[in-house]
Amino acid sequence: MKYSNFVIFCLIFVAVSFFAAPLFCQRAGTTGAGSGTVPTAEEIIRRMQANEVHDTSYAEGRMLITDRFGTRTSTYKSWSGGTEDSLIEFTSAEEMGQKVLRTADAIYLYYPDASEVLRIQGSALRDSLLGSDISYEDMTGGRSLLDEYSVRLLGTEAIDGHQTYKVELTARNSRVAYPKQIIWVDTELYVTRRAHRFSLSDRLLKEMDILEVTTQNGKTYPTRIRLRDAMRSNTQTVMEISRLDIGVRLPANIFSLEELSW
Amino acid sequence: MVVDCTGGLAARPANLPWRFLLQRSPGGVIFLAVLLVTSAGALAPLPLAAETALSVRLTASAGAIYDENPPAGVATSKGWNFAPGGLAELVVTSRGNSQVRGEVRLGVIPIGPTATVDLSRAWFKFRVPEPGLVVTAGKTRLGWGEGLVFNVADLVHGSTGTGINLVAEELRADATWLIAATLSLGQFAFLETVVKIDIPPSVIYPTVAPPTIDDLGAGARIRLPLGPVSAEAAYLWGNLKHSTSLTAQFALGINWFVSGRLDIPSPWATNQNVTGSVSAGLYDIFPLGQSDTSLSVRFESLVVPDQDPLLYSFGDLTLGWGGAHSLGLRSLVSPLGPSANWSVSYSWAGLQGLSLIFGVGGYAGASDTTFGWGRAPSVVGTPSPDFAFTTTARFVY
Repeated sequence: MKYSNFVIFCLIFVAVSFFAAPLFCQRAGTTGAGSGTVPTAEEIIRRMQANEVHDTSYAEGRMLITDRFGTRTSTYKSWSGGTEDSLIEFTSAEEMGQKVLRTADAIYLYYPDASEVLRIQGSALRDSLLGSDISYEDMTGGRSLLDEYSVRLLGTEAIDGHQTYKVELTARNSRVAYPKQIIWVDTELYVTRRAHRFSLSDRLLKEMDILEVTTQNGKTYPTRIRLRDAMRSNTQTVMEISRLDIGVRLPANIFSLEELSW
Repeated sequence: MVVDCTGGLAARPANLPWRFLLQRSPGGVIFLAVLLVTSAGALAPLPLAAETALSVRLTASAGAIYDENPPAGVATSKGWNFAPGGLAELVVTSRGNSQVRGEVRLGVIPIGPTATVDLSRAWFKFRVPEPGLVVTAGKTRLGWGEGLVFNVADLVHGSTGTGINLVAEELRADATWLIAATLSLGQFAFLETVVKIDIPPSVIYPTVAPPTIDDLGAGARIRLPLGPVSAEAAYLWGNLKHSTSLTAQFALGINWFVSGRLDIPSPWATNQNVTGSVSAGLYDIFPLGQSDTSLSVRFESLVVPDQDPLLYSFGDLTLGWGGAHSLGLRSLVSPLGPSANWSVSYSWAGLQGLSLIFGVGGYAGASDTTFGWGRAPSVVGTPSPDFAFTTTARFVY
């Protein structure tokens, strides 16, 4: 049962982290409402996505899952390289040493008590990522949101005191997890401030809010992200980033079996 | 391996007073050593303490078990019995340094008014970045082969036993004293050599004789990606035989693995029969809907032509939802018997570090079959209940 609990926990973590993935490591925008020129919806998405990927990063943080029984906390460290590779190591007592390695064509789960590496390929886990907005294929296949969605600028709105572009995304095909999304992109920083995901019947499924962002060395990134399942009441997941180093030199061979079982 | 439907805690051996442990069992010495080590760790300067993680795992269980054929010399009697149990584990790990790590895991198992200790892990490892060498020493596990229950390619730990506890937290967690050197040959390729020594767990055999040369084993494995296939070849000499294995893991719609093994006796072995075995299986995880619900699926089979019965199967279906609930159905089947060991369990982990597990399980089949009702215990002197209802609470902090 512990094994299955770990799998479930990893699914939640991967879903949340992927949900928030486009928000990590975004750079400050150079134009926007302040420039006097309103960009097109395509430009907004392109500029936002241009900030999604960095060569390397290292992060530490925690995930807080709150439901009617209270809040459970898990802490982690993560390393990422380019669009394909990432390694997550859980550091909280309950999941100590458990790891998830993502590569271009597989996900590896490492469970230290059994010294077992579970290699998962071609699975629905990889394809849908539990309905998160950005699928694994999106992250690794180099496809843009603009390839999967047609976009339309609905206008501007203030979100928690921040001026944002409100952009509607409508799926071009059925491969994506959500047929429709609405995202609110900061007009100055090009950071997503809010995102809503809808079903085919236009029913709201997921809500994401950026609670805090931090600007460091000219780059702005979220440090607190809240995810809510609109289908369930009294539950939410908050991802907190306590440390994020961008462009760090990663240890050689970190995205490998050696590091996974280290 | 102990057959136990009570959460792994009811079928423990006879009482071992603390004084006996300290006087005659290496476990007592180990306990004192670990106590000293952990005490020293607590007194260490802050920078050292920051690299050390200390966690405690507390487990309590209670169950009602029915035993049709209890072994002689144990507390259980024919019919229904109450089976309480508990385990306290102290886990000290050093994880802060990227070049050296270690872990000590000490379990204390209450038995009546006394308790016994079990050192389930005691290892350290270090690595040399160039050329990518990792050296591991101590009591630990190596993940040879593939398979959760049936893994004929696990030449180090031999995880092909049919005497498993289906509601146990870990199906494969046995550790072995060993020294291993692992050389990285690429992102998903490595060569590993190992020397191991088999020491029966003192908790089951407290008066075991010291290990001899026959308890030593030595071998190597190489793991390589061959296109979409992750392949492993292994060899081990031990127990007066040469063992070789080949394993392939790949995805074909879902995830598959297959392993083959050949055991060739040495000229000094009493039994000169060459034996072979095959284990194979499939597994996957299927997210259900657009919330955190998933179905984990695993099926495995073991074929040993020289054994009777020659075929075993294992199945595991686990449904998880809400991030805290899981419902599992597990079964170990001897199709040619026919007989089965089965369990259904529900787990709730809704509070920080706390898990509650409710399980029911038992055996089905004729008494002369492998998993039959009323069969003889697979381990002499060990209770092997035919039906069990258990509740287990576990807290990790």
